[in-house]
Amino acid sequence: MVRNVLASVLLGCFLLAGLTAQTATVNPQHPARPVESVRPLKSVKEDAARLDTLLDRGLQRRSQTALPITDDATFLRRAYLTIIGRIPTLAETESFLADQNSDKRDVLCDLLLDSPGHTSHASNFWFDQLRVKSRVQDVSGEPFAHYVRSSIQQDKPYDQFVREMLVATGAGHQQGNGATGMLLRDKNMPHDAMANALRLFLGTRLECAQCHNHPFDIWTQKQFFEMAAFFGGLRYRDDDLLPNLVGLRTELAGLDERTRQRALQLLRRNNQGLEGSGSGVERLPRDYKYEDLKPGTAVLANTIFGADVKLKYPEQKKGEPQRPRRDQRAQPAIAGIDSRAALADWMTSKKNPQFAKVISNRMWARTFGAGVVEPLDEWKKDTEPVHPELMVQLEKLMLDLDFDLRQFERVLVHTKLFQRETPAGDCAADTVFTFQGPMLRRMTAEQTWDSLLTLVFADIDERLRPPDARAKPVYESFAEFAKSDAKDLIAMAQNDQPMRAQQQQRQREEMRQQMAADTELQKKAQPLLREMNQARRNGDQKQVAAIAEELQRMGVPLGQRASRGREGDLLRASDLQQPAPPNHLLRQFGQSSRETMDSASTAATVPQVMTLLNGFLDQRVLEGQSALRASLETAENGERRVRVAFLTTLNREPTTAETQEWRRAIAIDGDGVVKDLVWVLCNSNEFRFVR
Amino acid sequence: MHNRLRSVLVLAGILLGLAATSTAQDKKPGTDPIDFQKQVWPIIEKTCLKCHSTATTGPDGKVKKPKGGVVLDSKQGITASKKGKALIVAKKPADSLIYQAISLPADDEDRMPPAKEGDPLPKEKQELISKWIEQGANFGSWTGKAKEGTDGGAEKGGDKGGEKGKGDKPEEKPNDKPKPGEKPKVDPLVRLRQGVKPLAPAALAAFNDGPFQVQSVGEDSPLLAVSCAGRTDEVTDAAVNTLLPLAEHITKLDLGRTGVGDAACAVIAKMPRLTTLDLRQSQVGDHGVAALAACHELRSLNLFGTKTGDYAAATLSSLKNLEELYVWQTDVSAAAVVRLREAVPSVRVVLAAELPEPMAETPGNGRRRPGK
Amino acid sequence: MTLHDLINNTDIQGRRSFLTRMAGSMLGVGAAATFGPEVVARALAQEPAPPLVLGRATAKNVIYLFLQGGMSHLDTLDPKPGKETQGPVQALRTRADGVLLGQYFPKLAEQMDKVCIVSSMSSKQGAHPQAQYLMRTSYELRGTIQHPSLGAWCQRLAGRNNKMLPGHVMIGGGAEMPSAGFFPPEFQALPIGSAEDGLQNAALPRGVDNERFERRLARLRQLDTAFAEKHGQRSVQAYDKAYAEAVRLMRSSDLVAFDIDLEPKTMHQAYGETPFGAGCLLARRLVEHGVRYVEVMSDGWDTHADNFDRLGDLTPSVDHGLTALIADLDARGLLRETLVVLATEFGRTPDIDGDQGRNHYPKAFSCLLAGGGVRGGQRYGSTDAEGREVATDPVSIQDFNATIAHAVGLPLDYVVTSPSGRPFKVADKGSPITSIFS
Repeated sequence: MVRNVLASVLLGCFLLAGLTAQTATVNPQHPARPVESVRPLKSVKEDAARLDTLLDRGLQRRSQTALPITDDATFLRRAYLTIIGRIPTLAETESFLADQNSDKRDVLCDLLLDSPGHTSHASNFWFDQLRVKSRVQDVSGEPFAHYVRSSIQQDKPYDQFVREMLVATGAGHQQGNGATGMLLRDKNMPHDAMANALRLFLGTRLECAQCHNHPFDIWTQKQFFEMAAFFGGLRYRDDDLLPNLVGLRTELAGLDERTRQRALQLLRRNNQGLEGSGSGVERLPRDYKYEDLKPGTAVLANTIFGADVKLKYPEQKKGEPQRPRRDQRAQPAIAGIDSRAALADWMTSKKNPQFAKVISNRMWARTFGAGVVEPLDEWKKDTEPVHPELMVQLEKLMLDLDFDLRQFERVLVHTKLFQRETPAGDCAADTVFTFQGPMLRRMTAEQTWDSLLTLVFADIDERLRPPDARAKPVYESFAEFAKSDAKDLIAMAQNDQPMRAQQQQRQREEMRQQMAADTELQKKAQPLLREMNQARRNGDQKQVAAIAEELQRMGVPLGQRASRGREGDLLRASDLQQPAPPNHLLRQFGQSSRETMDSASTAATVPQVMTLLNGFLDQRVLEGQSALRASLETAENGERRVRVAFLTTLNREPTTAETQEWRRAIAIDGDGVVKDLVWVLCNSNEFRFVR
Repeated sequence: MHNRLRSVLVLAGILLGLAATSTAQDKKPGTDPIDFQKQVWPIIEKTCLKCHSTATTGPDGKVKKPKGGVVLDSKQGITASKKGKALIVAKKPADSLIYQAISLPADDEDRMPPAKEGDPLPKEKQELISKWIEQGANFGSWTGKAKEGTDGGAEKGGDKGGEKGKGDKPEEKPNDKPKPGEKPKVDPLVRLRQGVKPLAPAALAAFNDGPFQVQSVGEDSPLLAVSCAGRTDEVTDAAVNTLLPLAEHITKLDLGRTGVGDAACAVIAKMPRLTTLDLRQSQVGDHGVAALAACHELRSLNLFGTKTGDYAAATLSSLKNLEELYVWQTDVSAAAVVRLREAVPSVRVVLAAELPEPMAETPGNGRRRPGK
Repeated sequence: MTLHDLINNTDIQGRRSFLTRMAGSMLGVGAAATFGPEVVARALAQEPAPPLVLGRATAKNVIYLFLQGGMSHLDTLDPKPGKETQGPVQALRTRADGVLLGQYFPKLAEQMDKVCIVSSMSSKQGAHPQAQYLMRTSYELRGTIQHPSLGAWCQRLAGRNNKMLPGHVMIGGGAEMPSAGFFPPEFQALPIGSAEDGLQNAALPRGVDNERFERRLARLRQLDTAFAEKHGQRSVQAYDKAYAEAVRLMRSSDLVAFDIDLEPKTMHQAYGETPFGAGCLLARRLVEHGVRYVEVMSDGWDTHADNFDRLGDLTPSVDHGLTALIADLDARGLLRETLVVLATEFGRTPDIDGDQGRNHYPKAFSCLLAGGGVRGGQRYGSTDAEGREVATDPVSIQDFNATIAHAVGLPLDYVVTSPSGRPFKVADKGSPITSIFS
């Protein structure tokens, strides 16, 4: 018993060493507290066992049985990918597989939950849900991204997280106000913001009811506007003149169009924010066509289910038109009566019938591949969970844990379900997934990218940047702006001019250099290009190179450009621009464009395949400086090399047959074959699918 | 033991017999009259109307006639006769052609619905129809299927597409009437297919492995469209020779971006029904184009990017049916175009692209920004 | 070999046995199940029996330009000069008598003789996700099923023009746009993130020659076969197909189609050196090389505020790109067989609000068609004097899509059954506008 504890501690230390820096500095994305300090493992395992029992019961009722527990290698890979979003390194793999302790799986899960990788992986999930973008219509969204990252890192309870985002006001770019980002994401569209909030947090899709009574669900258009009324009077203060900018408009009136535009642009970019605590009133649209009310009538805030909300409305002065409009310049601000706070109270309450259910279901789906209720965001009166008792218990668990998402996830990964094999095929058409084991899934785009980076850097998590790294310049620029007066702003706008003109000039020059001359030249190039393509098809590299040289001499740019190194920074996905640029590997593998919720994809497409076939692997992993290459080079013999390749990419030992086959190939064709081996392993389905 | 069993069986038999007669008694006409519209019509609508509806004109102008002249979407049609045999003889299902047809054995080639349309009607439905005829073949107030807004024929399955209860839209939008003074346009492809026997599938299958893609021009026409399906490198003059067996049938030929030259044009000249010829960016020159003067039905000729010139343009003046000629990036001059237009007034010649001027610069006008 | 090739090239017996193997995966049956005749019949029922009898196509290709967000129609394609709803926008005369355009499209006005504006579009969907989905698939957005897009239908019913290149390419746009829907994944569009960058990684890396590449592929196949024995999911098989497709594409001599750098500078300038312009230029190249269906997406048209200023920013790239595309296609003799579509999910309110903005307005809006047999220089359908309601010839979104399908010769009444057994057609209940074709 003591030996076990000691061994676990040693293993823990070793893994910890592998996961965190050897130096004294703490990784900036390291979770705030160890999971064990919040709850003992014993309670976690009891909760997990309860879930397993209910699941088994549910399976029995369907005359199905759970799948067997899977082997160590499969579990290892799955645990890393599910909890911290990347595959384990060679060292991590070998140490886990060698460990003899019976509780090593438990130890591993808790260690992973406590590592900075967890923050990164969870950030990707929430960026997706909240449609976080680095630029929202020309304005920076980095403060919001920072807010999300740090909320995760600090283990902020989910109800608090949601509440903060619903009630946030003030300047969006001011340090500390990142929470305004959620509503600013749908700037000038408070109705869409409400619809998205209901969908994300309460699993209820009300968008259709914006324009008419919902055709397939019970909601009416009036109800939509009653919900929208909670955001009544919400103001987006782009053009508000802060006190320091008084007189700006008069100053601008006399200037040229360009400077004026530029100054207004600067104003808008830095000034964005939210005002208004919520008036609790909204007007029905002009084309409201139902009998119950006249178009344009003001409706009061009212909830669509659960508890009623009582708001204190100010006395209405007779005859005063209360028209909530986006542009508040013309009228005095509408009195806010904290309807937003009331909304937040109602929504995040433990008594709200949907709030805890929806989030626990989403967390379940994130861990196991599908929800107990599907779809995740369209709960209706007649929705049936695949295992009703399990769903009830999940909700209860979330409430008991006071919305601590990391602890909730902890329970899920300690279940037996998390250790079972994945099914061998799809479930039959028209049937639901019943969780005999976790679902087989392709890695998400972020997991793919992060795993490929793990092949390049053995310490990829050490390269995680502080959560505010990208937002810092924005805060600084805002601080500058908040200090400037109208004259300063105009000066900024004017100074920008020559710089921009210069930039454009430079661009034009570059383009001129890049483009082919004219039609004449193109005509001459045509037959050569044909020849080159023929040679390419025949695989005759020498000929291709020769013709390419000829073409370059003529001044014609070549057809297929090698990858321009568009990966940019080699950082984990959560630290990059959100979303990645359109031709980045992340987007090729289906990273969401963040325009709508749930728009990430794991489908197979030709561009992503070509990246694996001809791009990233050969350039970054096999040829460049990479950890994998280093491990291969320091391997003592062919057999070790084969093992290193398998252990680093697929995180398992090669079978005897595989070892023999590849050793034979190395013997015949030389060491270059090892690169082919790695190429094959990274292109395989076994690499990209999470079992 | 045996005796006991036998007596049980006999008893069972008697009981069954009684049951049978009693149910037969229940079937006495008049006991529960069948409602045609609610019970019989849905069967007919679902199973029969695909082939046996009133003639309609489809959106492509083609007329769809009811099979065998039997129309089942109106009372008039259902009570008609086919070649002297009545579809329905009141009170006598056995003499009614409809019932005879639907109650044939499954492998009988005359049974309705035909084997390729589906299984025979289930026994209950056959019984229902039989019963209805027995009861006197009453239609009630039903006279026929309404054209729009039908509710009775409930559309099962399929997505509503958001227009609930709107009913079926008419099949076509109003067709264009020819402007006064204009001759009504006769589609050349309709005229050209007259009297042309379609080629045997084997003749077309011979091209499956080659670089050409051979297809009908649509609507089961015997006329063919030939293109290269992406293997333009393999299409040379020699390859075009292989199209000779199809010469009478080819009306559209796309040899764009291939290596064909003047020699191929000699083969193309043997295609009397050719209406569209695409030779863009090929190796065809003036002499090849001259040979094309034999293709009298030619309406559209694309010579974009070829080494053709005024000589070629001149030879085309004999093609009185020519409607479009593309000669951008060739050596054809404006003067030659003028001459051609005089000879063939209806032709539209495209000599150059009318590309817009480059974009003006204003801030934020969508121009590429750095880093975007 | 795509499924389509296999179906077309295999004899009946071979087809049956192939489908028997495929049926299970397509219908989601586990690898261990047996494939009874009923399963095979269902699978066969899903595939069009070759050769499918198509209608007469006037368009071989489609270039579909989509403006996401809802382009304001009264300021662009359906101006109402002199009315209050017109706001500060002027109307332009065009080359087509009697057809006016908003001041934002001066270049297009010069090519109006080739363009048909459909001014009487009308729908009930006023929210972005729903309206875009309806435009794209002709069906309503549901949480329960993904419908295939028009491009995917085109692939499935009419196949490819050039067997070596993908049949459907989407330039710009994100993964949220449904593509193949419930069709098998090989009907997915090939996404090109940025036209300027084209198709990346299509050439073998340095140091890897053909022979070595083949060896790699052979060993990869071995490993994947072993994996497939334990995991028969559709998502796994989709990757096998994607690899086959990628390799074929790499070997095709038509790969140059994806590279707009091969075009002279004058071309780039005519189309406009913007992402949208580059997209249009790439679309022209792709169609030239036989790609049947190309989409170019443009975002940012949701002008709730500062409508007029923002249109001034947004429209030049479309004005240039679209006009250059039409003129260029025409001069190459490709416009007659290429249907160019400019569409948006809804229009914007005739009444201008306090922010100088217009809001969503699906009741009446405009889209545009050119080439592919469509007679130019005309306006089909009309709205009332102020642009509030459709006055004549209403066109639903399904009708619009049916018109495109009709141009390509797709059978409008052909029913495909989804894996869950529901029937669907290419444009649902839409009827094509046949009178705009010459």
